[in-house]
Amino acid sequence: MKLWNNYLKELKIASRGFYFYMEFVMAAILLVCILLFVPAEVTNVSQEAIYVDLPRETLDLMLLNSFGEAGRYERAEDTTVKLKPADIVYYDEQTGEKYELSFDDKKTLELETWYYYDAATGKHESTLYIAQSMDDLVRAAKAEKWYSTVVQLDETGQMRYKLLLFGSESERYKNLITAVMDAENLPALQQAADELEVVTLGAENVLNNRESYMPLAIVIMNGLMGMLVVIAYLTIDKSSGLIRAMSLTPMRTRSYLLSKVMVVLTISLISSLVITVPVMGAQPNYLLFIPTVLLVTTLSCMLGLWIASFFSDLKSAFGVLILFMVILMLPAMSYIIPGFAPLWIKLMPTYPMLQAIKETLLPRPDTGYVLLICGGMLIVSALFLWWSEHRYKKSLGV
Amino acid sequence: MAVWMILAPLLLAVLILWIAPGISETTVNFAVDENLSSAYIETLKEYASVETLKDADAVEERVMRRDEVIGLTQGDTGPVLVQQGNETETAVTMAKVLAAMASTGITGGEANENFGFLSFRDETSPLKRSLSITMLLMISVIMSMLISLGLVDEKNDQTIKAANVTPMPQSAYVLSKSLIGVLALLFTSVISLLILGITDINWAQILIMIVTNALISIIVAFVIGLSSTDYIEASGSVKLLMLPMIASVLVYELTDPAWHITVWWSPFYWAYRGITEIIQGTARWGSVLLYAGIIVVISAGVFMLCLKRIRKLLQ
Repeated sequence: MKLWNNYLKELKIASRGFYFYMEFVMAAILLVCILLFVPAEVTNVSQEAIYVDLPRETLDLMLLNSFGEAGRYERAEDTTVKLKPADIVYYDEQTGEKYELSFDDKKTLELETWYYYDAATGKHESTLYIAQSMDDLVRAAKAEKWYSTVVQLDETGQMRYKLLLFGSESERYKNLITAVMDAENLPALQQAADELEVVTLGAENVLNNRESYMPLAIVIMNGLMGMLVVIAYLTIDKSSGLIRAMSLTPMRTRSYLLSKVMVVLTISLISSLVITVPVMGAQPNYLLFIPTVLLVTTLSCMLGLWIASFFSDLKSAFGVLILFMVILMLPAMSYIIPGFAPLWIKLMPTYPMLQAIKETLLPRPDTGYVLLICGGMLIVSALFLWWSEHRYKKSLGV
Repeated sequence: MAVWMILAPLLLAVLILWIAPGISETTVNFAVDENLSSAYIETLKEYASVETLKDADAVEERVMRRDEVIGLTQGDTGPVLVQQGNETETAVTMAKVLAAMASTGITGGEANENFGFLSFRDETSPLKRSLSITMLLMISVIMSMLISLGLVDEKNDQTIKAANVTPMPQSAYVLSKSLIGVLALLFTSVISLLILGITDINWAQILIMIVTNALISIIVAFVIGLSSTDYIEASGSVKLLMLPMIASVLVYELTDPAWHITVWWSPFYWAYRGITEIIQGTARWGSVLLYAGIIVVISAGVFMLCLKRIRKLLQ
């Protein structure tokens, strides 16, 4: 009861400050950005450019032969590409020959465009742009970041393919391309891929593109900020002499710290709901979502309190806290690129935080996993609170 | 605090340098039944990360775990691809291609007379470039936090009032505070670029972009620092500065160029665009000066709007 009264008092004080409302305004701005700029369905269409130094009929035949059976190519509207003056250098990786091009004028290209649709799914899978010259191809590839291919005839009348790379591709990736791009290999690979039996173990249980950004917004923008905010609140109390005054009251250090954390939890929960409800609607299991958000913020606050407890002056802790926040943001990379999940990333607390929040938003959440992570966050938070309490008893004098 | 705030981006640069190659190398993670032939498994290992498990059940158990791992087991008629159902389309397509290569024994290797590579030899991967530029922009925001928190301190310590009764003009006070921020920003940005190995660039162009980008952060830092009564308001307001920065990066990287007009008002957009072109080696002096000019004009506009308030708050 004492803790509750104390929380209400702290909340009242916090609500007089400008920051309390700014968090909600920021959540609203973030929501608008998500709704405006992040599409619900991502169109995963690859884009390639090609320059074919051959008669037009040969190109048409190539398009038909390469993709005619597997899918369907359709002519689309020409694509306009605006090119700026540029100096471009590229190399032939086999001969080592260097090509230097200098373009002093702006140029607008109207590129012949073809859409490729997969035969089985009917989905628009790739877009092919046809350049009229090698110079146009190189300029467009550099400006638009398109992978490009040059097709030419050699002296013996054989067709030669050259793929234009950017230079950051790994050897592994280049080997993969040589295997797939070799025209002789293509039919055998296509057949083997088509014949491969595929077994799906679970039912489709995924978030759409827009929804998939919600865990990042909640954990990074709201949860991790708790680290900084709770220390900022302590700093204010210390500099205003409030902590010294409180040391004369019967209030315990734990109650004092918890009341501060609870104010941050309130701000974080409201901000999270401001973003989540309009985007996710009724899909999430809010009975799981709300405690998970609260525990994510609690653990962040406890980590913040613990780190700051090692500094005699709380203000000095700000720099270290920012550094920790940045490091704790790294699992976001693994969340965006799921194939990249080394052990050291999985060991960071933000990895299970992101996974648990994501799970609560799914149509069929894995409740057991969420409860396990919540239990873990609760235990670790309690441990850090106990540790911090001991350290602050000396430094704050509450 | 200042030392840590300067150190934070440098450590971040080391982290980017450390993780970027790992991400670029990422293709697919396989859990493979050891009953598949050793030649099959060896082919997969050339292109992907492969974990060998004792039987099909172990593979299925591994696939059902939280991370993105695709399984390959030995079926009655040949290999079977086992997926959980929530993998990305790109990962499944890549897994099918690799499984087909392993089945047919077709592997890549040296380019031959029919097929070869041309290259721009730009060794900075798009991911590393994007992370590095975002980091440079973030440094300016962190520096503005440094300035604004310092001003909150000075305000609370009555240093500003004390400075008003000395012969030092207000403009000198403002300049001295800004200069520390700009110098710290330049130092941190240059060291970060050196750590990241982004050295084959036009340094004069990049320094112009960094300094002009600092202008807006410094102006906003002054307004925030002088109008905030405590640390929480100052650090919270700096978070507000992060929003246009993140929005500018996301719009530039993820949306069609036609949408870029929506962030033309943000100096971070012009800084990101300019630094991207400089690092790619496609920037010309004309475009760099144009972007820098736009940032200066936006910053001057914000400064004029805030001038009255800054003067009042400095009293």
